[in-house]
Amino acid sequence: MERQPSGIRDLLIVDDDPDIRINLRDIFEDLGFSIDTAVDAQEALTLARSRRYQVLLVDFRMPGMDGVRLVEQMQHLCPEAVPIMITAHLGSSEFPDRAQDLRFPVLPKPIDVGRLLPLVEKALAG
Amino acid sequence: MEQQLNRFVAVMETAVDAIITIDSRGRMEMVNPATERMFGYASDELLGRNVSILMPSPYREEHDRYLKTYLRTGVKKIIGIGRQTMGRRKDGTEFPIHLAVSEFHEQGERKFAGIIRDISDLRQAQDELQRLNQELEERVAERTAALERAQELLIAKEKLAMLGQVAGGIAHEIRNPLNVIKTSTFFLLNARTATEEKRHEHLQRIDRQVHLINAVISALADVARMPTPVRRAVALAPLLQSIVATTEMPSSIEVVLEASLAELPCVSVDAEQMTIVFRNIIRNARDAMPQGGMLRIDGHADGESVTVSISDTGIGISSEAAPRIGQPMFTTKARGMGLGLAVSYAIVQRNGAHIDFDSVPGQGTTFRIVFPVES
Repeated sequence: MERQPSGIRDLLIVDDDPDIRINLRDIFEDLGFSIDTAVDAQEALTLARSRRYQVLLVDFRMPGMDGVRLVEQMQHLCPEAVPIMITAHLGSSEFPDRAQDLRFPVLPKPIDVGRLLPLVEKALAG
Repeated sequence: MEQQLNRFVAVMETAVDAIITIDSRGRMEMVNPATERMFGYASDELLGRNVSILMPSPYREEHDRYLKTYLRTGVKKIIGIGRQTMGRRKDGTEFPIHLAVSEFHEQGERKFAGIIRDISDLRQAQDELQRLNQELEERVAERTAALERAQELLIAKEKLAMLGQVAGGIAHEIRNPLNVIKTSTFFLLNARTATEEKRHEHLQRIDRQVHLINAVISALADVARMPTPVRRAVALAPLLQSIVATTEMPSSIEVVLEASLAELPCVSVDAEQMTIVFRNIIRNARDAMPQGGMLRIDGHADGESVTVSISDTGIGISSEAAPRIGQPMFTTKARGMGLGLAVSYAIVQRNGAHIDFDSVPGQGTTFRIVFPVES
């Protein structure tokens, strides 16, 4: 599969909740982003093989591979993509201790888009 | 006679106990050396005086009256009985004694002989024993209290752990719909290019999520207050058909309702509650087959019971998860509170039926609900 030239504002949303995928797509498309969505880590990895993303918006808890492991694998495949994680489990025992060692931002659900947008802008600027 | 007297004197002189005789008015007529040692008086300080000087208050004041009452009524309080009481030394100090009194007659007068043993050592030993006993009791009570505290703490910790698990499950199930509501709201408030159609779509989405949150709360309320089943004769085949028809099912899953179901006799259950059970098991079977497969519902009846089997060709239940199936808040799903089977197990039990399962990881799972046949 031939790689497309990298876009300026390419964002990949990975979340198993269809409503969240649509909502984040609507919000970011309205802001002029080019959006792909994936239902799980497997689909996200497949997409990342054919397109270079600047930002990855990843849910932590998904069927199959969780968000943290997906980001680890993405960093080999798409090292320039800046990950941002979203979780309903921040501060709970379900979210792994390794979250403290993560080198990317983790936002709690429900998402405060007002907080998310500057993080995305910063990722694009960096 | 002289020999007897010598013996008597020897006994008096060598006795460790104080020996005193008194006349009918209480005056001391004879005291032995042990009396002098015990009470600190010389014998000439005692002879002829009232024996009450050897007693502390209130015995001292009451002794004359006791004596008179005894001489008049013959009611014995000490004589021939012996008792523990208190003595008083010359220096005013008091000490515990054992007193034995006997009566004798001399030239027509009623007289009394008392033998007094200083029981300070005994009393001290008793006191010490009592103190040790009390100390032991205190230590036992202390230790018991400590153990009770530890137990309470443990129970509190377990409750807290359970509460944490419940709260975590609820938080997840409510935060996801809240997440959708919040992002839809952001879109509605901020989107520059939103069409009327898009706005409507987001409002509908918000409405759906509110229902989802409400369903979570209803499920919790059901657990907290499960109503008593209203059992009636229920035909299982039409019930299962309507549940399958109203349960979301991807096209990759083939659902087979076996003909055997139609031949099952009616069972006595609460149809609404059993709907919850069947729907939960059918949904679990569906969720176990993300790549598709076959969901098969079969029936079997013999003289004693009616069995409904719900089988899937899904991922199966691991040996680690199997013992925890049916425990509240245990789930292997990415989304779910772990209430479905816990509620189902409770409902089945309250409807007089029972539930079990077989599973082969990688091949599939069969849940069986067994109803007793109505006699």
